[in-house]
Amino acid sequence: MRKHVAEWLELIGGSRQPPNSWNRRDVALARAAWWILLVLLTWAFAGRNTKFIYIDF
Amino acid sequence: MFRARIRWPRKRDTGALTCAVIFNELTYYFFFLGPCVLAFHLLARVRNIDLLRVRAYLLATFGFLFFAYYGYSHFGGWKGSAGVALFAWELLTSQLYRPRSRWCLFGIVQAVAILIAFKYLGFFASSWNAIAGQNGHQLHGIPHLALPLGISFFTFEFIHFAADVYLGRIERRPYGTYAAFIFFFPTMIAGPIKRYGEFEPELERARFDSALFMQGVTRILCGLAKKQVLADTFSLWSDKLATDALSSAPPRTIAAWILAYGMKIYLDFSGYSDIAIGSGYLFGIHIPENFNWPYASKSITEFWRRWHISLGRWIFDYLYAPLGGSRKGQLRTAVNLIAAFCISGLWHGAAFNFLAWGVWHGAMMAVHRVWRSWDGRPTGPVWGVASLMLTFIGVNIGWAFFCMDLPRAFFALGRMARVLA
Repeated sequence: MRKHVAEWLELIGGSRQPPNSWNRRDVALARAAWWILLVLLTWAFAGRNTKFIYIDF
Repeated sequence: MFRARIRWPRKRDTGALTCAVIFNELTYYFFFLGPCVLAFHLLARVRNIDLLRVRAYLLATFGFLFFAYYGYSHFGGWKGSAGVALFAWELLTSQLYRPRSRWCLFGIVQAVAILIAFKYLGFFASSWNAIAGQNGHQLHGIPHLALPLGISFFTFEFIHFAADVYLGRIERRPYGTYAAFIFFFPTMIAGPIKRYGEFEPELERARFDSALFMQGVTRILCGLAKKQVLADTFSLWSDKLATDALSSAPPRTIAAWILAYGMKIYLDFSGYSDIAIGSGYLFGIHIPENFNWPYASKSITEFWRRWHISLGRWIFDYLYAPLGGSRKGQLRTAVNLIAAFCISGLWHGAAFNFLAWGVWHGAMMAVHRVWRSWDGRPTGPVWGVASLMLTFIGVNIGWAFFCMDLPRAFFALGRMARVLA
């Protein structure tokens, strides 16, 4: 179960390619919708106190 | 009551690490990534050119401009831009490297010296003044130099290259390809830390692959969303750790803020790595992965195989193994682990809290090593869940040291420990 969830998240996160058996048109449509959603989300949350945190360059 | 006992450091002294994002700016996509990817793939259509060489110089030129532009705009004006000269100098001297040559050792010393001068001199001087300064031995006139963009990552890649040439692991090293490796701008700011031996073949066989391109765009957009939507939301809670609210917060609230920081740092840094890796995909270049579900680790050793993977590999190959690794007995192994993680901690930032974070992780690794070698250790699914939780708690205790200066971290952990007692 955990493995399937991880694989699914990796797929929608762009770490994994969709299987070749999937319909290419459906994949393209789903991808376009996903990109639009991500852009809208990022745009909606932009402007907060966004700083990169981890390394003191 | 707490405020009366401990002097709160001023905000700039707290050791909190923040820096401009760059990857969420349109200039990155429209002036650097987009044009460079376009030119990179169009060059494949030009006949009678040495494609690898021309592409390498294209990447190096864009990287140079990237550094100059963002160094100027985000890292201290012209002084920030001038930092590129340092790395160009290191790049030039690396042409002298030969297997078993002293120039390789010179390159390593030079890279470390530059890092110390820019990043640690002020820290060492202030530490010395705090310890020995009361006897009148104060150090004065230590210049406070602005950190050049990405210096920590540059240093690790320079050291890797010099060490690998010295050991004969790198044979072919054309100047252009090496310049492209060093100045590959998607990984310039925060990694992943690349290896020349992996980067060169990637550059050599890079071609436009529509599936990989789409995957790259998805990865960039997901990275941006991870950073701006999720990580910045967790910041709303974790940022409280840096305020006076900490002194009056109940222990469970402090624990929630530290957990929020743990989520934030993961989403923030993995989002950043996603954007860097996705940018590489647009060129047709695979960059090493940096994260693999680290919070699903069942031991601290596993955690370090899943968290900031490129750093873990570097620490293992260029610090832990040369120190003797696990070849010289249990005690020496523990010392080597703690030493390697102390250096890793200081690499993250020049402050005592990062050193404490390194000691904590080194100690956990050493304890886990002893535990692993015990034949009677429990096994089974219940123990699996327990080790998952134990690792998660251990890592999050470490984050307390990472995100706060030492007085705050000890105060926060002390408050939580008192509840358990």
